[in-house]
Amino acid sequence: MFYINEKEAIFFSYENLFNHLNESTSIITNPYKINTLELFLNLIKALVYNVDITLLDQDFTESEIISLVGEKYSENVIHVQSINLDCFQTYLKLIINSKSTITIFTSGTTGMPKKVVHSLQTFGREIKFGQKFDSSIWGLAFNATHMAGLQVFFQALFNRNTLVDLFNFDTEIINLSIFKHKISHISATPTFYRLQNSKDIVFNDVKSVTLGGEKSDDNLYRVIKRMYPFAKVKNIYASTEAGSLLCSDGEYFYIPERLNDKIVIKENVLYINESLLGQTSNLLIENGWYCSGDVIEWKHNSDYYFKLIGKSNEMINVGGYKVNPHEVELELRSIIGIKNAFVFGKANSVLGNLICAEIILEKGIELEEKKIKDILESKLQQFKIPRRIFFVEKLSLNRTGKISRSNAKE
Amino acid sequence: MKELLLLKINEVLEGKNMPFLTDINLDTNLRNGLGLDSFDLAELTVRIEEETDIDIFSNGIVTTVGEILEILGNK
Repeated sequence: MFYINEKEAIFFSYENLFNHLNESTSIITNPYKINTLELFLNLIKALVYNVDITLLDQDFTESEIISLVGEKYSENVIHVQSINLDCFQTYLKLIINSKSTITIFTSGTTGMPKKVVHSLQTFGREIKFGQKFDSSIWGLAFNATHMAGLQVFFQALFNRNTLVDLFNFDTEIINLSIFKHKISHISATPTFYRLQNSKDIVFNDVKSVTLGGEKSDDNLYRVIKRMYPFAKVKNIYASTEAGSLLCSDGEYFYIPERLNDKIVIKENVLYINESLLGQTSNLLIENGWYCSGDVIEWKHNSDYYFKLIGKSNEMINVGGYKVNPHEVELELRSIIGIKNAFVFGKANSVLGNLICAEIILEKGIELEEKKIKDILESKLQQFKIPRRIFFVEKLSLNRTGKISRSNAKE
Repeated sequence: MKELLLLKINEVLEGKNMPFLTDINLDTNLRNGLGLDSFDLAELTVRIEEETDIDIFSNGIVTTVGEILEILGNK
C-alpha cells in the first residue's frame, strides 16, 4: 500500500500509484483544498516531470493566500506528455533526481506564514535507505504541506513504504489505524503523544517514535515508554527553513559533526548558517547567520549536549518578567489529575500580559483553580503562576498540530 | 455591579489566601486598603473584563474601589 486513510476509507496501493502516473497527464502546481492523497499525487507528478510546485495549507484563508502569493487563488493546471514507464522503480529514480522546487510555508506561530523554496535535497538530507526500512509502515501525523510531513512522506516513498494518515484525526481513529495497519514508525509533535496518553493502551508493533516541533519533557518520555514499550524514542530538531538539523540522544540534542561549522550556539540561542536554508525572502540573515530563536540549556558539565527549552519569541512578558510557558506547563502536567495543560499570555493593560492556563483534567477528577495555584506556589516563582485557569475539554491547537499560543481563548 | 465587583475582588483575595470582604467601601484603596499588588490588579482586570467586556485599567491607573465602579457605569 502507498497511502491509507481510515477516516475517509482511502486505500491506494503502489500499483494504483504506478497506473496513475502512466495515465494522468495533468498536474496541479499549486494544490489547495484537495485531500492529502491528491496532494501527494500532484507532488509526485510534479517531481517526475521536473515541474515546480507550491503547497498551500488547506486551512489558509483567502486573505492569507492573497498576502502569500499576491493574488486570489486560482488553480493552476499544466498538462504533460505521458512518459509511460514500465515500472514504478524507474519513476522513483526520476523523483529522487528531480530538479523541481517545492515551495512551502512556515507555520507562522507569530504573524504571517513565511514562504520558503526548497530543492529535493533539503528533504533528502535525513532520509534513510536500506533493507532495514523495507517493511516500515509510517504514521503521518504532521500536516502534509509542512516540512515535517513532507519528510515523513519522502522517507516512506523513497523506501516504498506505506503511509497511514493520522493527521488531525480523533484519538480513536488514530489508535485504530496504528493497531490495524501495524504502524512501525511514528513521527509527531509532543502534543500528539500527550493527547493520545491513555493508561489502557499499549502499541507493541511500533518500533520507532520520533518527537519534534515543540519542547518535550520527562513526563512525556515516561508516557511514551509506557505506550510504546518496544519503540526507540528519538527527538528531532527541524525547521521549515532548513529541514532536519540536530541529532538527539534521549532528550538531549547535539550538533552532528558534518554540521559543526554550520550550526552554532551564541548566548544560548541556536544560529543556523544560511547555506543550510531554503530560498526565502523574508528571513532575517545577519552576516550569513539566521537566528532560529530556539533557546537552549547545556547539560550539566557538558558543552556538547543540550536541551531545547523554548522559543525566545514564545517567552511571555509579564510586567517585565519573562515567563517560559513550557516551564509552567511542565509543572502543571506533573500535578496528579491533570492530563494536559497549555499556558499562554492574555493581553493585559496592567502587566502587558497575564499568565493564563487551559487545563484538561483526567476523567473523574475534580480540581479547583485555587488548589492548582496552591500546588504551584511551592514550585514556581509567583510571576510564573497562572492567574486564570480555564478547565477545557480540548486545548487550542493551531494548524501544525502544535499548541497555538496566540489563538488560545478561554 | 457592586455585587459583581465584590465577587471578583474576593476571587482574587481567595487566590492570595486573604480574608474575604463582606461589603464594598467606595473609598477603599486597592493597594493599601486591600493589599493588591500589580499582579492582583491585572488578575482583577481580567476577571472583570470576562464578565463586562470592560478593561478597567485601559485609561490609566485606578486607585480605589469607587473608581472601578465609576468606570463600570455604577450600575
